[in-house]
Amino acid sequence: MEDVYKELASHLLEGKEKEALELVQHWKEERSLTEVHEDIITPAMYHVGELWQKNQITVADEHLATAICDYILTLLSPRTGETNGRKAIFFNVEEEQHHLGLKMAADLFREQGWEARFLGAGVPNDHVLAQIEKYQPDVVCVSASLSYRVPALKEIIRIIEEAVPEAYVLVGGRIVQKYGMKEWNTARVETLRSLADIKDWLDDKKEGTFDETS
Amino acid sequence: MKRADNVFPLPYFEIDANWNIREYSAEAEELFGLPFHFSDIVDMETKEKAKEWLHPKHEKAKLEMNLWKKDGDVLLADTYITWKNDLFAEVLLVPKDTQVDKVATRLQAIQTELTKTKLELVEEKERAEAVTEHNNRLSAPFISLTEESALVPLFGDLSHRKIRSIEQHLLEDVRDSEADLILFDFTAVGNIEKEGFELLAGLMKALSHMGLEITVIGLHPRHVPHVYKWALPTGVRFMQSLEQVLRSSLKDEK
Repeated sequence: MEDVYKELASHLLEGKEKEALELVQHWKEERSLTEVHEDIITPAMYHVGELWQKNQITVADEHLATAICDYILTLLSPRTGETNGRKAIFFNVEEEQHHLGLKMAADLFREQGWEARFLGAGVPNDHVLAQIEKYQPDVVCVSASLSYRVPALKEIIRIIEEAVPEAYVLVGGRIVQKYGMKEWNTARVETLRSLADIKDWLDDKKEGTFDETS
Repeated sequence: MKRADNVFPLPYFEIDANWNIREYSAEAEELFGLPFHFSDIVDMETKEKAKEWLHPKHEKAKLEMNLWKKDGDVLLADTYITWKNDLFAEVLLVPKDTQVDKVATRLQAIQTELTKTKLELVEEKERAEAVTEHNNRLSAPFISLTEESALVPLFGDLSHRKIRSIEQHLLEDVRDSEADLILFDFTAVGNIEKEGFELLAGLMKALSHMGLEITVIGLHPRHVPHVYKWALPTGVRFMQSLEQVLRSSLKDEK
């Protein structure tokens, strides 16, 4: 698998979106979307980050890889039109630009029949709030990568809890992956470290809270 | 620590092996204020990389670093490092803001492609919805049989959306006609959805309030449990088929 994600990373870094897409689609034929996300795309992007750490590529290269990865995720996104009536909304903390993980999380929800609205990166808090109030989601997913966003993350969680007290708030991104942030967990707020954690959470809730008949 | 004179018009530091700042240029002061220690301005995500490369073992090095400016923004800069000896290094920074053209152009192309795809999808969805809406509206034509009676054959599944689409024109057609008997024909009805059925029942109630007599014909056995369970307004009559209705009205005329 290492060969595959490194090959993908090199396509992404060279701006070869067609080759990158073909590679991913080839793997998608035999795997679930989650497996493609976790075993190929995520490690490829981590590898890109490592290459920057190793002083082998520049931030410009990283941006190019991110944009092409984004494009591929959009094309892989499952859109059946049929939903189970449950709604989830996804956004990054203000000014946070790392949004690929969040985008994959949205697809995970879609794959399970949810209606998912991805607001993306760099959306100001008041716009997010307006969307949440209009959309009335069952779940709000928020993500942040860089550690100095912690205060902003805490603030937006508080705002969401006030705006939609009935909704579940799922918090992810590299901050959670690195530091856990378990102290933020409440009955309605949960920090999740990986896509696998989100999948478990969804399976868990499907049994009770979000079962078909509720 | 002193300010260095006569260096390049760029942010510049001279540091020791522990990253203490010994000299700085006016440009460095302008951007970063007066930090004592170089690590004070290195972004957390850059630290590991900097520890590796800003080290006497690499006599000369070039690396990208994210650095904190005194105004609280992060600055991406190419950093050129030269160790004069094992103790002191010259660190020259070249900010990168204007060097992203290659990426910007490529990004722009991809963004445009994405936006286009998204818009095409939205348009396609709207087109499909318009077709459905049109079909729905045609699913309950108002056909005058005689001066007093009209036939409304219903087609397809009875969904909430479909009944919503037909109710307006049906009410208008009824108002414009002289009919006082409306026959709702279920012969071509597929599935009956609860919400759709309830809305239809409401519509029939509205019509009967307008003084019309409502008769349902052509019920299929599989419809009956739904009709029984969800109930139509009182006063609605049921007959087997259009044929039966016509025959009995002819008999009446005789």
